[in-house]
Amino acid sequence: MTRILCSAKETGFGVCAALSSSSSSHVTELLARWSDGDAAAREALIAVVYPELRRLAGKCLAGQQRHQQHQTLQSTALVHEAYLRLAGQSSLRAENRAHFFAIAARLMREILVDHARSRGAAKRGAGCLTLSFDEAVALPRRPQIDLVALDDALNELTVMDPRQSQIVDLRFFGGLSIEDTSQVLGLSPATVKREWSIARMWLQRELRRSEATHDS
Amino acid sequence: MIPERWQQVKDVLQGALELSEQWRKTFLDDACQGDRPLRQEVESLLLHENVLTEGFLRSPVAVSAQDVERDAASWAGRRIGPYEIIEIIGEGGMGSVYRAARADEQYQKQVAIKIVKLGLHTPFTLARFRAERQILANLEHPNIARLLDGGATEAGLPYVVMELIDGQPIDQYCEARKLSVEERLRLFRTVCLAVQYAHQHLVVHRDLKPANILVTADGIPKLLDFGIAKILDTGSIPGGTETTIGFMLMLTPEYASPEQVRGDTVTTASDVYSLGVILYRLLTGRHPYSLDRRSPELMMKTICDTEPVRPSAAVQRPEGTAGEGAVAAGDGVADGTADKLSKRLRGDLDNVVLMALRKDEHRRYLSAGQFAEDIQRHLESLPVIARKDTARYRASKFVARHKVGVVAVVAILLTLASGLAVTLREARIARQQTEIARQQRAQAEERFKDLRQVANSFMFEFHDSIKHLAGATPVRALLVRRSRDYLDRLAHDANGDPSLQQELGTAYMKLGDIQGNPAEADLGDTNGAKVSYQNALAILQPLLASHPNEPALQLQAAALDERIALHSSAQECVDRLHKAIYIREALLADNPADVQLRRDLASSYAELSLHYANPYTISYLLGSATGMRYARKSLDLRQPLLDAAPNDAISLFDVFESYHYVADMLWVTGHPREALHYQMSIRDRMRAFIEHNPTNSEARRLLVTGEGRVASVLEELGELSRAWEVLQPAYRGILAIGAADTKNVQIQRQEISGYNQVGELALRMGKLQEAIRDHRQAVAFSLSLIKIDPTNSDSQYRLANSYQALGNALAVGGNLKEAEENSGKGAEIRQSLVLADPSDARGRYARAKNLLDLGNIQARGSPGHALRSFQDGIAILAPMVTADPDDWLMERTLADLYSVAGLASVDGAQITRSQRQGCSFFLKGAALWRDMGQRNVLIEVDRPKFEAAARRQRECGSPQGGRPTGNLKTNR
Repeated sequence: MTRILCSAKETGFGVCAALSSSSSSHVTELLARWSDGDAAAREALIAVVYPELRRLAGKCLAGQQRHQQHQTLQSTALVHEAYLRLAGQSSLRAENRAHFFAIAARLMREILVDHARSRGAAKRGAGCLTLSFDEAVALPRRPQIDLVALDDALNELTVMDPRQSQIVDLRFFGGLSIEDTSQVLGLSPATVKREWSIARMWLQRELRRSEATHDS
Repeated sequence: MIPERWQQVKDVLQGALELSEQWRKTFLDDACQGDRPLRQEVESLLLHENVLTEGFLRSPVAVSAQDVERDAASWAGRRIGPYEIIEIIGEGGMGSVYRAARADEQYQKQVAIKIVKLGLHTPFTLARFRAERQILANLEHPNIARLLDGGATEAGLPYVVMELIDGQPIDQYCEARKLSVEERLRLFRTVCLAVQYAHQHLVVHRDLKPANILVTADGIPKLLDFGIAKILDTGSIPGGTETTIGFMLMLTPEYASPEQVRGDTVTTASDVYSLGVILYRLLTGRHPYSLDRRSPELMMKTICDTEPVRPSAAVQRPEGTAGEGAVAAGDGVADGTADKLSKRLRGDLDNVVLMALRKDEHRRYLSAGQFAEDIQRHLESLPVIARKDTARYRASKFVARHKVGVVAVVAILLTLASGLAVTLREARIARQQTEIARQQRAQAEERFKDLRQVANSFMFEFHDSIKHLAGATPVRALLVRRSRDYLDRLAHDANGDPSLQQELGTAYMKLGDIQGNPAEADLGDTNGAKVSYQNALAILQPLLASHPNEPALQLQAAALDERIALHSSAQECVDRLHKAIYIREALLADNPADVQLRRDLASSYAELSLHYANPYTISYLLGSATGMRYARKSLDLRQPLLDAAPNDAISLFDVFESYHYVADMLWVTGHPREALHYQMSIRDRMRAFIEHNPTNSEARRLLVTGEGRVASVLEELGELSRAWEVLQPAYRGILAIGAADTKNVQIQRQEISGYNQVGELALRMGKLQEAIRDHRQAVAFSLSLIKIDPTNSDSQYRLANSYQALGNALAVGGNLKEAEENSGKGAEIRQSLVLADPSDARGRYARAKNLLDLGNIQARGSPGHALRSFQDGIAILAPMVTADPDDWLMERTLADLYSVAGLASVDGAQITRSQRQGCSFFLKGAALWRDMGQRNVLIEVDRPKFEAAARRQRECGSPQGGRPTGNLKTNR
């Protein structure tokens, strides 16, 4: 898939207006087909979801480039909003929702990482991408995460342990709760919690190492 | 790393994580088995264990955004239903608000449209939304923004259309206009009344905050978003912290009540709380707590556990310690400097605000209306309801001091009752009309449930909080009437709903308690109580038949058995108590840690012990040993609870009771000294409690009851002046309590006993006139009780006691005619009581005693009648003494009867048969005394009687003269 960098020009009203009700029923249908095992449906879905997500994120990123307000929009909200726009019908079955979020979380990661790379702000996301850390006060000097390094580490993790890497996608990029994640992946919440903990320990170690390499 | 190796690392790591630090080394030695790289990998990862607590990656990635503008841009000009969006006017956690105009009409009426953001699992259905919307649309109040319409956008986002209010949030309005404290209070009061209006229409706001209260340029406050939070409630999500916290963030934590942040049921009390926060803010410019918005857990803890700083103190604190974004503290309030403002707030306003902010929802204002009224009262310089003290103290002030308060209660009750009628009707109609949408029915039933809860808690919890207050009886009587109406109406609709039926059963039972549970402060309406208990039983029995193993139902059955027991014959009473005990013992065996169950079982034991030979009970079976056994069993269960919580009032009251019951039985079986020992030790404890809790009238009542018992034992031992010392203050105590609460029947019963006991003691001490006066008073009191409830056997019993005692006093004064008349009336009443309940041994014993007294009076005027009375008494008592040879009180009475019967026989010796009969009486009397001597239960006072009996027996020339015999009992 071609990765398109977000730009102010591509965002805006036009895309949204072009989104007809037929496309939303289309998404519903694709989700249903995918959950019935149709692999091609997944590709088709990505083709629909990705531009929408990118559009939503792009708008914010574009705004950020103008160094305007520091309001934050969580990836969770973006994913949810994309969901509502594309498939926001209450008739959707629960597993279809789950599938949608699985795709959207992964795409969200691609979009954000792409953006970080493209801005050349790879190191510690100087500017656009910030994290709302719980312990922002405890770590005032380093509130941001190097998304590019995270992406690299995640790619490595995928080889070792695809399930863990997917959990990170869903939790961190998709903003899903433990419960939601366990539903999407068909695992018990306890398993998700365990894997999520170990994945974070491993990721933190890898990021520290990469930091050390860059700093030296 | 290859996946297999990583799996190995994960396994060892997981194992290590589950162990505490100290065990890990051993574990790793064992798990890695010399695989050094494996061990290094695991150890290096363990260094990053901090991610688990510090939240690395825990919050989802966030990107800076201007979504407000973006939304505005994307929505402006769009159509939603018949409305065209003009511009965004607000943005909040739940969604965005737009100014819009109805596009299809000639005139462009502008409205506000709120479009709501939804989470992944928000169980939003349009049908439910519409049902709710209909209820909200019915709210018509000048201070509530009308809900006009609502629906869902094409993308499925719900929206509501509201009256567009052009105004300023109430806090900003007050600041901008520099309103004085009075002006702020008046404005706020209007807000409270609007909230009250909504509550009366069964709508709870759930998200009250300044941003939802706009004040127009004309100074009219308008409440927005009523019930919107309910429409969007995420209630169907299981209540994990994540959910709760999520909901909390969606609401506005600064104004959310503890029960809201905990995810508990939200009631009208939650709105009262939010109003309290708003008032706090309006008066101080600050927030009651300093909330750390970064940590939902901490915020939750603060809201649930931290007591707010008094408003008067808050305004004096330096800036920055208050809530974030606080309007300049105090400065905005036009009353001037912080000190001046602090002085203005101190006292009433502090109490008013803090009362609304209480953590326990039941201790807040009962309603927004009451909140408004308290503010009004403050504005009119009247005393306010709010007190900083405990609920009970608060209620006592409330009833005793402020008649206005009682009026408020009545007003609330009326409101509640009429609201209830409406909902009941709605629920019933909804249940009947099957074509009504299911959601709507669920809706009506849910509201019905809410209201039921409010009604129940109001009627019963409010009652409980005032029940031990002196002077509370008229309010309680009103509560009873309202409750009865409520229950009767509810019972009509309860068929087929087991939970409602069970609740009704409980409610009827409680109602019965208030009406006439002799064990509690009751209103003396025995018949009303019986009807209520029977209603409860009628509802419970079919339920229990279909769910025989349901503990809740069993417990209720036990409680009900216990209560009906008190209104039954002696035998049925004991049977029912045994049944209740059987149920509770079995349940306690299954739940040994259940304190309430333990208390209940102990009180069943205590109650049962009273119904075996306890002379303070008005109806009992023979069996002093059984009585003692159960008294001790109750003490054994209760003592550990008091030991665990020495300051707990209920535990102390319980142990006090058990001590006395044990003492009673010691006395009954002839051990008055030991009884006294028990009584004295618990008396000291109760006195200490009263010193610390001087307003607890139940404690005082109990102490007085205990003192009466102490005096009885002292009197029995012949220590008359000591008895007098104990009895006098206790007696004054009863009168004081009685004077404060003239309608409390329980106190009146005690007053009667008090008059009689004092009178009897006075008589023995030679204070004749005093004795006569006291007994006449007791007669008058008993008669007035009988007037309230003619069938109440308790009152009849007390009247008989009073007549009997008056007769004795009059006889000492030489007025034999009137004396015989009174004592005769007593004996007559007793006969009718015995006939009414032949199983009652107490009644028979009392009758025998009455006949002894009557005979003694008659002996001075008409000896023939006297002998007849004595013989009747002996006929009643002799078989009873045979049946329970340990009952010393009965035995002594019988011995007395024999002696006087013997004398009467000899005195009236017209025929020789009398002589022989007299001698046989002397013989039997002497035998009893001798038996007591042998059993070591012959007290000093009785020794002359023993000696006289022995002397007379010798005079009769009995072959058995002075020599004790082994089979005396059978000779009786």
